[in-house]
Amino acid sequence: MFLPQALRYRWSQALVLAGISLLIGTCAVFAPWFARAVEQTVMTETLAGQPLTAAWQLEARPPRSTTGAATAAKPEDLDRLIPADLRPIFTPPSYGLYADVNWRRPSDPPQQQIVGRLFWRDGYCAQLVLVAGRCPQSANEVAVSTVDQTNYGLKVGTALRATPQGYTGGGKLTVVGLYKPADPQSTYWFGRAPIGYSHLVEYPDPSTSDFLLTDRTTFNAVWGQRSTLDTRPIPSVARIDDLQRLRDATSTVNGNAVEAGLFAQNTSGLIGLVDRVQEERKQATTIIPLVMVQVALFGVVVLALALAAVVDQRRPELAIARLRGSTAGRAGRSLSVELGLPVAVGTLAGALTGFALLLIVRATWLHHGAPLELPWTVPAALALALVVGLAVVLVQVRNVVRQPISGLLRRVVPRRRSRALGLVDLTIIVMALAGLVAALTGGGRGPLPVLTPTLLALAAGLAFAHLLLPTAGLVSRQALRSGRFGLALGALQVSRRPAVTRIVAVVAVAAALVSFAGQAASVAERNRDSRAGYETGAEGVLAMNAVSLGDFSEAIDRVDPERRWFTPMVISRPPSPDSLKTMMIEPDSFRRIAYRGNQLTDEFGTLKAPSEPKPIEIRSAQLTVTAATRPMKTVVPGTSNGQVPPPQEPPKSVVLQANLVSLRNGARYLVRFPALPLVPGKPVELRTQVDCLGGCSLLRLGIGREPNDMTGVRGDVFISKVASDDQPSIALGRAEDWQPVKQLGADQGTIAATSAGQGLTLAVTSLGNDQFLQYATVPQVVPALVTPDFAYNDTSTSPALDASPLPLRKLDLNGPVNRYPDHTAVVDLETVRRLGGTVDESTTDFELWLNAEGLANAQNIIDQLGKAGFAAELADRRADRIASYGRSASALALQLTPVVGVAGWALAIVVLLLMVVTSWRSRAQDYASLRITGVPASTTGRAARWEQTGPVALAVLLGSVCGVVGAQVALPMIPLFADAGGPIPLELDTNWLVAVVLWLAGTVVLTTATLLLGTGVNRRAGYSRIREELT
Amino acid sequence: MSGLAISTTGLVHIYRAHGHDVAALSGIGITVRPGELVGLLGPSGAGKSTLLQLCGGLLTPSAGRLQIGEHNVATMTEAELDRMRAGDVGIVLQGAGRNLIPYLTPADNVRYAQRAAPRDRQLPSPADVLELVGLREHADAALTSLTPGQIQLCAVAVGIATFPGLLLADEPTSQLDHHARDEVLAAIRTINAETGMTVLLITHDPEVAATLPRTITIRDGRIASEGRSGEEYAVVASDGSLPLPPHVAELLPAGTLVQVTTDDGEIRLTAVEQEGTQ
Repeated sequence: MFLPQALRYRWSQALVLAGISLLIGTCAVFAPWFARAVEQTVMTETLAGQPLTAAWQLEARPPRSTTGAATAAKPEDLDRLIPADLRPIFTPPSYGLYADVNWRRPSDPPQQQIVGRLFWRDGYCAQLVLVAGRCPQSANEVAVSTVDQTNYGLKVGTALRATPQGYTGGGKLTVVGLYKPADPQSTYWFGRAPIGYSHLVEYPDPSTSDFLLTDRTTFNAVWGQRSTLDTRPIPSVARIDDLQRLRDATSTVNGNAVEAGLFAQNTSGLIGLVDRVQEERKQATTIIPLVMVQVALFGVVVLALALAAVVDQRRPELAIARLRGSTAGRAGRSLSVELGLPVAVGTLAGALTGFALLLIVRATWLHHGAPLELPWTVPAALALALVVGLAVVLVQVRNVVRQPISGLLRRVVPRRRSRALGLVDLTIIVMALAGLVAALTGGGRGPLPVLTPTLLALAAGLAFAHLLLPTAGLVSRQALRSGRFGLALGALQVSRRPAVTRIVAVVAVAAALVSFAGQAASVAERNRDSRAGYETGAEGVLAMNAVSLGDFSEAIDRVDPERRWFTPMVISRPPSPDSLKTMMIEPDSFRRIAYRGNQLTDEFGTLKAPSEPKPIEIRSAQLTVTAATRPMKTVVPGTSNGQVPPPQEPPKSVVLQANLVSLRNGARYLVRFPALPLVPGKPVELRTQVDCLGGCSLLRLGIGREPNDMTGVRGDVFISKVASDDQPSIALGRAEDWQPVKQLGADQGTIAATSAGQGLTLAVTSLGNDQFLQYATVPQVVPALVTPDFAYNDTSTSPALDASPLPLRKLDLNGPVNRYPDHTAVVDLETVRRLGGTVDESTTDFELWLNAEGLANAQNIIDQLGKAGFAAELADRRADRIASYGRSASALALQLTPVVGVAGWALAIVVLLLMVVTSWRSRAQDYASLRITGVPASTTGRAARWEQTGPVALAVLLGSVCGVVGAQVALPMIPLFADAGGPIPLELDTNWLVAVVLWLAGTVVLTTATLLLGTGVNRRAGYSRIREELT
Repeated sequence: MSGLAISTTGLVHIYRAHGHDVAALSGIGITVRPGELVGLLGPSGAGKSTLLQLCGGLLTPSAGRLQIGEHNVATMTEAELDRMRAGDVGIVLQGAGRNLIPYLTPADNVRYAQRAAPRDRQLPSPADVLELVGLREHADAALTSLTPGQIQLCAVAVGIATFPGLLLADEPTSQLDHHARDEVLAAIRTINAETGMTVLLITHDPEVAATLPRTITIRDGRIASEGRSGEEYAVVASDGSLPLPPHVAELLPAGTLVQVTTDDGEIRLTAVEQEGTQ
């Protein structure tokens, strides 16, 4: 009845209640809406970003796939495999037919065959640019690509004779048009674009042509064609609720095809995409509650405090109502309506605000990636917020209304002793600690762990506040004794006002929220950056083709000899994914340029190729060795069954061998000298041709045998001199610089170098196998950094450039290996270069890892490499990966953290305002009374200002600490990434810069507020205040 | 509604504060007839406000009997007390502001006070109520625009909003200048005269007390005396005790043995000298 007047009279209180409720309503509505929008955005962007992976590519083959004239099901028949309920979210099916054919022009000899594909696809003509002729319109007409025109001299009117591969049939085709696809990357083609195949014969590949595009009627004849149906989920139509159905349908489509009697197979990566989206959904549903529920809960606490203060002010009015005969229930209902109205209106307005906020973030952060929809969680959350808000109103009103009229009539509410730990506070502390323990010991993900900072701050804040009251009393007495009246008065006011406990607790929670939000945002960003850095390897990566390490090295040395821009990388892959791959690096430039390259190991020095001895280099067309044998013994190897072997011919000779590594192209050659007869003591000069005019390094010396002279022999071979065209005598170095190369298998013989004058004595036991000594420019066992996921042992090897096994010695690895963190051995590129070998193109990748400057000059580098004959492309960029992670559910959700900061501080200021609003009159009267007794205004001013500023500053510090500690507890439980990230560790260390900045900012904001409010109170402490009363 | 009688017998009220019992009223026995205008006098802490609050059902008697019209206050439930205040007993608290909703006009305040009245009750219009206290022309004015005297009159109007049988007023004339005080007093007299409402009011002002037809002075929780038209009388309690007037009590210190004799219609008190005393 008198509601409008009541609301008009205390409009500011109604506004505060509505404002707090608005915040709660906004959080309640926005959280599920935003979570849903993030989930939908992640799904939309995933589907849109990987259209081919998401696609269903159904292909039906003829029932008999090798011979005969059977035909596959029609493309339209494959429609049956798309579940009816999913059809609305899939693109209209794109049908196709194709047959792999061999074709030739009638004038070509019959043996000249060009491999090609006769291809029809629904509506393909619209996707072509016809440079001559027209699109095929009837059977056996074809359009050929302009590249085929160049390669094979095709033109409009050319007749082709085509036969299907593995099938009978075929026919004569006529070229009626020359085409280029308008956009080969268009999603229309589903990765089946018709160009990029044409090339003349390249052994072992035959001549190949682009697609021969034809009319569908061509396939009315027998071609053994296959039918295709391509479709994919439409990103803007598919909903998150469809995910599971999509997954189920994808996993069962092949089985359904069998049941339907269709010889069809589906190719799709949709299941993997769905799983990834599901993982990201978990991130959204964990992090968004983390951010919003804490703010909402904090809002509820502040609302409760505000209502307590407001209801306390209504006590006289309640007393009047009771005096005039209203029952407690009726008086309570009236007040509940009066206070519930702004709460309800605020909460409902919060729903609108939440929706507006959603529209803003949808247009900005989410790039319109989510459709506007109303998930059931939104009205549910709104209803919950409304119920909670009104329940808080009812509880607070009930607490006061239940007081007897005589109590309501008293000016001051009878309170318990202020220093006693109230039952409510004790309960809150216990519950907060219990929640904290549950969060710490629960081990699971979910909203509870992320409440840790709030719970911690609440418990610590209340406990601290209760310690503060007696401490303030103590400080007051001491300050009074020392004559510091301002401090004494301020501390005294603190000690006698239990409301301080609420201020301290609320401010501590606000500061903890802000601090935690800052930590969560900064730590997540740091981890996204570092993971992107490790996964990319450096700021950017150029992938390039190369067939020779020598040419590769020469080219990159020409482009960037000082390695200012990049560090080279060669990766040699093993046939088996379970084996080690070899990642060859330049340690010096890697340390500078790779992402955190200097942290990879402390043993870069050991990793590098030895600087001594210097390589033995020759430039010559021949190599001459002067060698002699000492008396040699015949060796009879034991047999595995213990029987005496049959008598053999006595050994006649040994063969000196050498491994030379070309300095021109890096290839490793084996050269054999003529046989050295076993005539003791007689030096023999042996000469062999070598291809070393461009320079070679002598890597190994060894002993072999003639094929018809394999009898075991033991003795010394003395090499007295090695000479080449450019060096009459080549120094072979010390005997200890020549170490035997490990042989695989048992009892393969031995070889060792011993020093003897100026030459080199080889002590050999040869059982027929080749025995080698390797010069110490390359270690016998190559030092390597081996990723910990591989079970390393002394026999572990990884592939060298030519895929030969490289024996490894494991060094200590400090962190994850960039870009290739699994099953990788990092070795020195120079060591591998010295070892030489012909690059196995199929298993070797060449990369240049760029720093920021190199990335800025990437095009320049690519151009220079192009001039040198190397095709390079920018394959990866760290910034792209950071951007990609920035679009993850985790990153999108954590973008809300600034909202937490603003909301936390705003709510804290609201509480401070409320406390001042509800207590300023009595405080002003206190200070006015003191002034009457002669206390100067400056002293009461200091007391008024510092009465709340001191506790608030301490509470900010306490809350900030709780936020930092809580972050350490909660962050490991927050899914920052959809996958575990393999060996790349999460870096959850406290960001102290952020912590300190937020603490200082919070202190400045909140203490400024309290100082201003205190000043205001002191200004009102006039004498008139003492007898102020509505007469 | 006609005035309600008040009757108390051996009324006791004990406050419990900080673990101690304090007797505010120690066996009060008074009788107020319907339509009477009675002033309660006495020093601060004597128990006047306690007696008023007991009559209004704001406190529950610790012992004794308290009858307001047909209501036995000592045995009433909270709901019955609410109903009694809603229709039969009007209360004006000390300090006019404590009786009024600050954001309502005088008329709305009266309406507010009538909200809980029994539905079968014939209620006066706010205008009639305000007419009775002389505030009709200010019915729709803001409270802040009224003088202190008018605000007090408004508080009185709220107290009689339902034309109850009993009006309890706690110092309605305090903090007012003489003119305003006389206006308020006149209004209360008018109410008493025109409606037959029983009025029990507390005052410290001797000039106000002197104008009242009957006063009851309470001291130390007991009836000290009664005044009738300016004359002061001691009152014999139901247990036969007689509190002495202060000027007599000075002559007879506590513990004095007194011989009571009657002589030709007069009652004589003679202090008996004791051993060791003078």
